[in-house]
Amino acid sequence: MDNQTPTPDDKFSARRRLLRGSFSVPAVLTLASGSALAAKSATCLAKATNQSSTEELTTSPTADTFMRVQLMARLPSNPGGNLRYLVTRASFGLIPVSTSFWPTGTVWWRFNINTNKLIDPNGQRTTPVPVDAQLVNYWVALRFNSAGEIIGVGKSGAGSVVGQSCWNSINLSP
Amino acid sequence: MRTPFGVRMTELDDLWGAFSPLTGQTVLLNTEAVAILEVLREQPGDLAQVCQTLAMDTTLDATELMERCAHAWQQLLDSGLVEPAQA
Repeated sequence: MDNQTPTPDDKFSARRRLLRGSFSVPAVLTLASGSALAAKSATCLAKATNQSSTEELTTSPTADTFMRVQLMARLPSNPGGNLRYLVTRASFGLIPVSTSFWPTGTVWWRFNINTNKLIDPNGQRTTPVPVDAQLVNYWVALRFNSAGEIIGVGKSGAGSVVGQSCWNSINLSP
Repeated sequence: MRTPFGVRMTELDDLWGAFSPLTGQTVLLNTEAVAILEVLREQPGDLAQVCQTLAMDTTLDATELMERCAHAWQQLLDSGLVEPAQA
């Protein structure tokens, strides 16, 4: 199809094929750039999620290389009480989340930093994130299935932790 | 409309791989989509003109072909395999 190069011998070959049959709907199928890399990376995701695994909370975003989200916390309701921690749906960004783990409409979920688990079932909230909630110095590891969906955080849910580099390599879109 | 300079095509059994220098991407096309590009290579024109030409190769009339090709036409534009002739 290059107008600047000699016409190949198969000129009109597609049209010749049409003469042999009916004309179906034309199809343009997009390929991801670096699809070979994606295939290799899909293997990395499959390996990473082959066995259930999790990681403890960290107090530094650079403590390890696993996919994590930052917790938020609210001031205690009673003077002298403890901070109340939470995970927000917004913290997952554009990463797909399984609705079997995180129901549609759930905006935030209370989190127990001692057990590394969501406070279930009473901690689930569909109301806006409280205005007094602030990001704190705790990062909880996400757990994924082989399709790349979040199906757990910390020790809640199922799935496996996935390395940042593996995730970056499968997530080719900007 | 026309196929831009530098478009590369390769036949892959029942499908075709097409590289667009405008987008830097490769897409897969079926024979019908490649036929559209072949027509444009020979004679730049709009979708209606392309379908009139293709109607001579098929049992369908140009109107029906336009209905079938409209979506792919936009995809070919988006993927840089078709561009305005004055570009």
